[in-house]
Amino acid sequence: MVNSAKSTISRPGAPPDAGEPTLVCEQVTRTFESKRGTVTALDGVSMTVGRERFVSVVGPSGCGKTTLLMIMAGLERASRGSIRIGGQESTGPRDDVGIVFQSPVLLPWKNVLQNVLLPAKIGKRLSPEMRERAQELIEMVGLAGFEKYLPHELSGGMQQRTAIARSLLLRPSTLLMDEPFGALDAMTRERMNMELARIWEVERKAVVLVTHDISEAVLLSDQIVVMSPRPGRIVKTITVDLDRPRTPSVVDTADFRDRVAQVRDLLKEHPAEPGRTDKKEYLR
Amino acid sequence: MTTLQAPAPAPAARRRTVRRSAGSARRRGDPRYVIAAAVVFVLLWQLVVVFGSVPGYMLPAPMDVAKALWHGMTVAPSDRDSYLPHLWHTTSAALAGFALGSGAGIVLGGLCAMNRVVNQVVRPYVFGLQSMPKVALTPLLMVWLGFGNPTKITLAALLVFFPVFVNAYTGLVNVDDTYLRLFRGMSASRWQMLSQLRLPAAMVAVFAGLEMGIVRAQLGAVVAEFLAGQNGLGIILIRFQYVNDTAGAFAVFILLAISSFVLYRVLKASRKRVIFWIPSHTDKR
Ligand SMILES: Nc1ncnc2c1ncn2[C@@H]1O[C@H](COP(=O)(O)OP(=O)(O)O)[C@@H](O)[C@H]1O
Ligand SMILES: [Mg+2]
Repeated sequence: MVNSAKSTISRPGAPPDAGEPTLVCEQVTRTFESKRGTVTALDGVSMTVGRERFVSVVGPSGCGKTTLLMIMAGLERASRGSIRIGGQESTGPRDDVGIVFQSPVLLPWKNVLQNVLLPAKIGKRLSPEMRERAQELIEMVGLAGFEKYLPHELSGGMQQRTAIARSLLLRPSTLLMDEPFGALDAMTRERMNMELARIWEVERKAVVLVTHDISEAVLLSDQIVVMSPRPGRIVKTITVDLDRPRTPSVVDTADFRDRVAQVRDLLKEHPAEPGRTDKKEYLR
Repeated sequence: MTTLQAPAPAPAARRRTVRRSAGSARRRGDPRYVIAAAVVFVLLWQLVVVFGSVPGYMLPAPMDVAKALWHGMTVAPSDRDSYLPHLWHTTSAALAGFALGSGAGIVLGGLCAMNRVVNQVVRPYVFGLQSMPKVALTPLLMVWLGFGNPTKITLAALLVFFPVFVNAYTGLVNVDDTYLRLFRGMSASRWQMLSQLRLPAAMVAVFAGLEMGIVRAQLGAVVAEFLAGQNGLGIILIRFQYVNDTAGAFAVFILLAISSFVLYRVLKASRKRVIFWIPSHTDKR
């Protein structure tokens, strides 16, 4: 599964930071007005994602993870604060940001290849090179031979692989993922985690991954941002300095378990509000 | 159904479709059962006529109905007894009304979905029209359009229009939010949102409207013939009623049912070709 032929040298630790971080959130605050008053979904969230860094965001449901990701994607505006991507102030959706949503969001009338090519089609950038790129991505996510399949002919995991390939098509500098494997069963999910680790070794991007699976976060990330609910704030940022590339056996190391325990303890200190029923999500 | 109105064939949704497919083969029915039921029904009918001493003008024997149907369908089309010219008149008027009504429904539904001003002006009137009993307009239509095809076609079109309009409109408007986000994330233009997302996504709903429409089109044509026709199956139904030819009326009724069913089936088949991405086992009916 680990594609060591393509990735160059396995180097321990995270890749070195070079120059300006790819993504910078500065004091991002977002409030929603409703009839029952003002909800502060995000309160002064600041974080940076270095070039080719993998950062996970964990926190209980309703702590503003999706809101934060959508603001980063330029699909939602911040009430205050700013986002910089690649050194530029970001004001809206942009080509150099790829998004993977919790559901695959594939067009059911387009086959795998057409779905992967959608960003090029919408951006009027279809070309033989793009098609080649799409083909390579399809192979990379393990869907070679399924190019002509329609989404409903694929399993949930395969649909999400297609969505990942689509998000990578235009070679974004930043990849934003909102609980991409949240709807998959535990087995598929574990496999997809390793796949994502491998894909990231090939397609190095600055990644922000929202998840509520602690093992997933530790397995994949260089850093884990732990958030607390209402108002959504960053409790702590934990650095994960396990060797890369990460292999399935890493989960059996003491370092791995330490990190998992650390994140879990932080989340226990900042539980979901009463009435929210998804605490059990952390028990896995 | 796998639509964008309830999109994302997530695992849970998939499981549901799979489970449904297991039952649907059984539910779709074995043609042998259908035929057996028909035979039993006809036999019972014959028994009631023979032993129940029901007068023929109330309930004709199945054989008489079959004979009438056979005669009406096999005599030369130029013969006065032939059903064929009438079948043609009714069906062609129904189809013309269907084309007109559904075309108007799709165009107007699309305009309402795309433009807020058009929507606010047009929609209240359309819903106002819907709450009117449109069949009651027939006498007025006769005054304006006379006895004949224009009245038939207009009534059929009026009946077809509403379900198609509503379905086209809601299909275009109710596209899942995440898909809209996906397209906004790719900086899609309004036109791209329409052509690449909303239109194909709305096809499922549009076809649901068309399926309601095709049946209503025939209804409209026949009702107009009752009141204002010069030819067509509606007219010969009335004529048979005058002369107490109940077997003939039954035959015409069966012919109407068959032609309506055929039209519906043709539409179903074309739906399958247009909306090829919906697995056929999720089709209901
Ligand atoms: N469009 C909206 N309108 C009003 N409140 C919203 C909206 N979107 C999110 N919220 C609120 O903001 C908070 C954070 O939501 P969200 O970002 O979806 O959390 P998470 O993804 O961490 O579960 C929640 O309390 C939610 O109710
Ligand atoms: Mg969320």
